[in-house]
Amino acid sequence: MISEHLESWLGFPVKLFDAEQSEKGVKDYEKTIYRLALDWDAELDFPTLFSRFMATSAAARTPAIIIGQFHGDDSSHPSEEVVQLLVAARDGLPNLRGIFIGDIISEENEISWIQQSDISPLLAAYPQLEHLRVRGAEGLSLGGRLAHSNLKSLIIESGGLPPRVVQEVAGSQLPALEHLELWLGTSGYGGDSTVDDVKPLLQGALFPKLKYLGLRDSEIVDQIAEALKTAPIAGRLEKLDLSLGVLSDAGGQALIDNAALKGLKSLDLHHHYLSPEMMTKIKRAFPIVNLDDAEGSKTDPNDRYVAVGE
Amino acid sequence: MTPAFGLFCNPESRRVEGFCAAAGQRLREHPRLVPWQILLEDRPWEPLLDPMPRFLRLESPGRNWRVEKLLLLRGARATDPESPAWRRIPGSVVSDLENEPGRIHSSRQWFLGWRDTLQRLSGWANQPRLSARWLCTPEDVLTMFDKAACQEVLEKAGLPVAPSLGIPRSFDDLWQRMRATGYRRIFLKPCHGSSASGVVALEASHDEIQAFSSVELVETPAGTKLYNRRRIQVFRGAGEVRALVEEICPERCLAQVWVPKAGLGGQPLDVRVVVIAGRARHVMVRLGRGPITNSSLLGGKADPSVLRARMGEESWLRMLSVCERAMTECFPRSLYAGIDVLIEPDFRTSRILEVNAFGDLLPWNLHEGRDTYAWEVEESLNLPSQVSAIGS
Repeated sequence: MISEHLESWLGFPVKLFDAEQSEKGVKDYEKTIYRLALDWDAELDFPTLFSRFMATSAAARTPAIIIGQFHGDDSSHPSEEVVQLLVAARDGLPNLRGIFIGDIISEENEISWIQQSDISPLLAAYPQLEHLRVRGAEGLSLGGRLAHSNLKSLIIESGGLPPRVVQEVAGSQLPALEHLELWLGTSGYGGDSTVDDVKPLLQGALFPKLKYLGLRDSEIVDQIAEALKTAPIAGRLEKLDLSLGVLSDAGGQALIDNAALKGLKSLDLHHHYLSPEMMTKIKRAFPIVNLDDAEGSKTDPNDRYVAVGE
Repeated sequence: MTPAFGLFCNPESRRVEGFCAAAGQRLREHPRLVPWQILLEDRPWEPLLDPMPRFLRLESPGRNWRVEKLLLLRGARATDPESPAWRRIPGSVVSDLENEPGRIHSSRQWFLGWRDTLQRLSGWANQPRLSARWLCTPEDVLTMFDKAACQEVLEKAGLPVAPSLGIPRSFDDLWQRMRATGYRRIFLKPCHGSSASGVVALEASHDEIQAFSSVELVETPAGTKLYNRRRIQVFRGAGEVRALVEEICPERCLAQVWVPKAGLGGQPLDVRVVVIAGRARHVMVRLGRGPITNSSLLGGKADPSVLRARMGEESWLRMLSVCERAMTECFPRSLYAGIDVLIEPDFRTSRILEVNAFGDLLPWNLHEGRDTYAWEVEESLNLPSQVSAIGS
């Protein structure tokens, strides 16, 4: 369950863009990232809100933009319009380095109900873009594959990431990518990826600059941990993030047995089903590990849930 | 000597213990207690208030099965001014009911019994030579025990609330109201329920519907029984949601827009503010494990100072002032109440969700060194003691 909007992103504080106050209120485009969102009782539509943001010439200096609730009351409204607006606005946003579509909390809409769309036009429109993040995988497409020479981070948060999208990521050409974060979610919400879908991501050649790999919120995290034992990428990673999933002792042991992971600077496993004994062993092997939110190794396997599934 | 306080109460409750401790400390005097049970059994209770105290305090009749049953019995004899009637249980059936923890009985019938009881008490207290005054009047307590009536009072005063969709009779009726207003996320709250009892959070997308509730439906040969559990369950799909709503609507529920709530530490929150003598004092920030935030659901609490810092002083004070206005403008004859407030995700906008007549049980929560009961005792002593001295 995601209950809070981002307070900061890319090192900048995030503020809600207030359409009513936009004339006098917003001055610090350079040092602040604004979230454009329609309230539950908003009377504006999204294009109007967006045009208010773009209306001031200072928008040209904004380093990144966050799109929150873009559909108001109608959750069937996909993000396609948002993508089109951003593409059309490219000349007015020459400094844009980051785009996040879908900073929507569960109190606003369930993550599995957020209607995304083909986001690949954003990469074509913004060749200098470095950070792309989306929440929600329903309707999400990468247009077959992504190709971009400057993108440093790609984050797809979901309650269930379809195998098709995982395959699109695996087929992408992102030579500058340093941070790849996929929330695989649960099969109950379309997250049917198998470890075979994920394996291509673990090949070293795919993203030569990758430092952070996050395969989070996953039901198959034990198998991913096992697959990492023979993954060429393992020795190159600085940060491995298998948090929010249903990691059990089997997966924990696979991590310990993986000599290639010994040099990790960060290992995030929080929200897991590891036993106290296994936690002790992991802690010994990886002193930097995050083992918060132990959900209990005695939990019935049928009652083990990823942290964000709804 | 005239005693200070007389309490209508379940004497074993920790509320009574808390208030008596506060009164004892301040006045070296134990309040006079009138057990609800004695009053509801029509046994002589007036001698318990001889000599008549200066102040009368209504305490919760809850958490006492005998008293709950007596209220249900009294409700069975009462006529409901609304028709068609809400769910009722014949008196003969009530007599045979056994105490099942969490079981939801007809909360409307319970309320009719409660209303009858308070109205009679009010009539008794209005007799010309009776000089005691209510800390909170029976009329106000009754309004607070009817979420729909309370919502109306707050709306009329122009206070910010979560908008209402009225009182739906059935799932189809509710669906119609949602379509007509365009709201896809709503709360259904039994008008006369306390804490999270019977509350349903319902959401619909273009092609899906689901609901969260602590209610459990148990099928028995005698029909469906409703229980309140400590765990929130998810009801998925039209079939499950409809079954739940059809069972909970006959309790008489207010449909309120599910306005998004701000969150802290990964959990959505709401705020309980206790207003005493017109001033917002004790604050409790309650976290939810899901959309339903209530302390009985074990979601945990957050440090109010964290929320205060996040909201900023201006928004924080505005929230407190909204709570104070609810009391001074809507319930000027009542000394205290616990107000539930929602903070929107912008951490600026606050809306009143509920006003709780017995919302002052916040153990170990101190405001300027005193708990709720100590402040209530203190502020009582500043009140004029004659009923006729107020409002005239």
